Amino acid sequence: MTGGWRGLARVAAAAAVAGTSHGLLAAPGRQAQQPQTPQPVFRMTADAISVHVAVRDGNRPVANLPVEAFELLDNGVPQQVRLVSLEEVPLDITVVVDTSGSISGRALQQLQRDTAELTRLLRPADRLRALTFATAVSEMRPMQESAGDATVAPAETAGSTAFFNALIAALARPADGDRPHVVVALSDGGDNVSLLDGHDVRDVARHADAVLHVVLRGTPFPGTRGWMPFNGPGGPRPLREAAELTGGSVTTHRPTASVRDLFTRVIDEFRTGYVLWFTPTGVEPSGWHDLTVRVKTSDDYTVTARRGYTGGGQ
Amino acid sequence: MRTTCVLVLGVTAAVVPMTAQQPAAAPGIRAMIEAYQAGDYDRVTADLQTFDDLEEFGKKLNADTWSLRVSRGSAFEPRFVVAAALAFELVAMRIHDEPADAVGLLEAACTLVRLNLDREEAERRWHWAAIALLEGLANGPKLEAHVQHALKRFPDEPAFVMAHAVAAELQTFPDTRRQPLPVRDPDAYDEAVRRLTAAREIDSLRAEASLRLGVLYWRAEDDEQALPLLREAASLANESSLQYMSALFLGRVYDRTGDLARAASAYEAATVVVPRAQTAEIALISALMRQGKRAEAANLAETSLVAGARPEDPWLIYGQGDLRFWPMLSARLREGLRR
Repeated sequence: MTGGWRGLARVAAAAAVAGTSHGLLAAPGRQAQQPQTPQPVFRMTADAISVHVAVRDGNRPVANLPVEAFELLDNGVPQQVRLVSLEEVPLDITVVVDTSGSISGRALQQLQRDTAELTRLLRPADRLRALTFATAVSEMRPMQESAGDATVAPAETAGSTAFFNALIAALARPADGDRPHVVVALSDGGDNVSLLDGHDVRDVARHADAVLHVVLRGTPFPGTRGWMPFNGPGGPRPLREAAELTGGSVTTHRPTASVRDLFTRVIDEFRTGYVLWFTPTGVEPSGWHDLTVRVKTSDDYTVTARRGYTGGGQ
Repeated sequence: MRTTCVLVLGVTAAVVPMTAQQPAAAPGIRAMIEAYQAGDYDRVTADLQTFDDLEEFGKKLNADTWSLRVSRGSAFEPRFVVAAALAFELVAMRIHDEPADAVGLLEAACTLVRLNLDREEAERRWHWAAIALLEGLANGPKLEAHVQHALKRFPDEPAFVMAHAVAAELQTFPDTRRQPLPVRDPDAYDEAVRRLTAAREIDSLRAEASLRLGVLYWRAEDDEQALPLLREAASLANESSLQYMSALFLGRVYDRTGDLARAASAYEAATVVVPRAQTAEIALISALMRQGKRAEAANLAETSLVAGARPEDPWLIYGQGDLRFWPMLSARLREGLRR
């Protein structure tokens, strides 16, 4: 695991936080440095934790909040935080695309439109990776730039639906350096072959760097005939918990409804969001840590952040 | 099904002496039977593909086969099994797209194959191949009905004893089209336990029966009973799919009990048995992530996601019993009926 930005991560590399393009930050234990390249680089102490935070006033992102505006509780204990604004940081997006046989006709056309909408929102410095899944999960496009021109939707579909396998494979990728990683999964959600289920995705999400957004179309978890792994796919609840643990979401949509607004919101949250860094104090290092983030200056804002992290390497 | 069989058998005694007066067989059926026995399977396949309606084919097959009687008084007449084998070939082609009609044709063929008084090897092979196809549908009730017929003819055949247990096991899987899922049927569960326990007493079945019983207990969240059974299955299994599944589910038991190190070892063992089978790879990625071994998990994920040919993942056909043997069973059926 490398150091640097992540939705939330324990940072392995002992070092310091370097400045953003705004020159905002002083690194713990080091002097802030002028950036030498257009891309900021963050390095943290071994015990530092980062939390990506999005703040909205209704549908409008709230930018330029000072560090004093935030309160962060780790297992209920207030923490001293440092702040990074994300506006200039390029994004890494992994789009996870359902290419199983249940996606056909209008659903396939909509999937093609969805992926095109998503890639159009990306900037030249952003990177895009595409995973496809049917009975197996494969990487269709490695993480790379020129994302705006990418075609990541399938021309045709076939096979079963290993949705949960795909999510676990996507979440296994660590954040790369200072770049936030967002996983956007597009599916009808009707997994019928994975041995692991939504509960496993949730357990993996506790250890992942990425923020997970799941876009479900049609009838999610429609069930199946014949034998299933055990008692069915576990239903949507653990999947929803998985996404929310990372600071993401699960949304369901009609088969042909546009999700452009959703994608715009997801991307904007990173363009105008914040990273709060802190070194946990006053809490047991190991095990699961509940995190609570609020903006002290207004109770009207909607604050989105991951719900916790796993400490102590467990 | 049983009622139908009794009726047909009852008709046998009365009608067979009159068959010489029945219309001659349609050339198609006669020619296909001869081609099948001569080993000209390409021609058989081409001819079978001309039949659009499986039910009509079944009626024609039944009528024409009766009219083909040539060795009156013989204890064993291959024509019945060969005719049933033709039905089997057509069912194998269409069962995915027309499962209901395909099962109907297989049931009709089953009445033909059991007309011989003597229980020959060819009939045993036909039943086993047909069972594999029905297991492929994962339809417990249909499989149960057929296995009952096969067991009545060959009560000591281990493959049929195992299929009997698999039929009960299939009944324990809920119909996930129903939401909320129905509560587990305790009768179905107990029957599956009873049959799998009986199957463990047959040496040649012990590894697979222990595996299936272990998985059943794991599904019931009874890890204490599951663990020794899965360990036994892992130690006895000499078939790669059983070795893979035993290791995979040992991993699931350790996983649930919180022993992530042993879980990861078991999943890794499964990946060694069947490299690139993605179910074990994903399970291992999950265990590594939760152990904090992020780099190892990421590396394995990168490898696992490389597109390309993959072996059949035994997990994907676990619920389908002997379907994994289908190519061998089909070949042996053909071989046993060649003249």
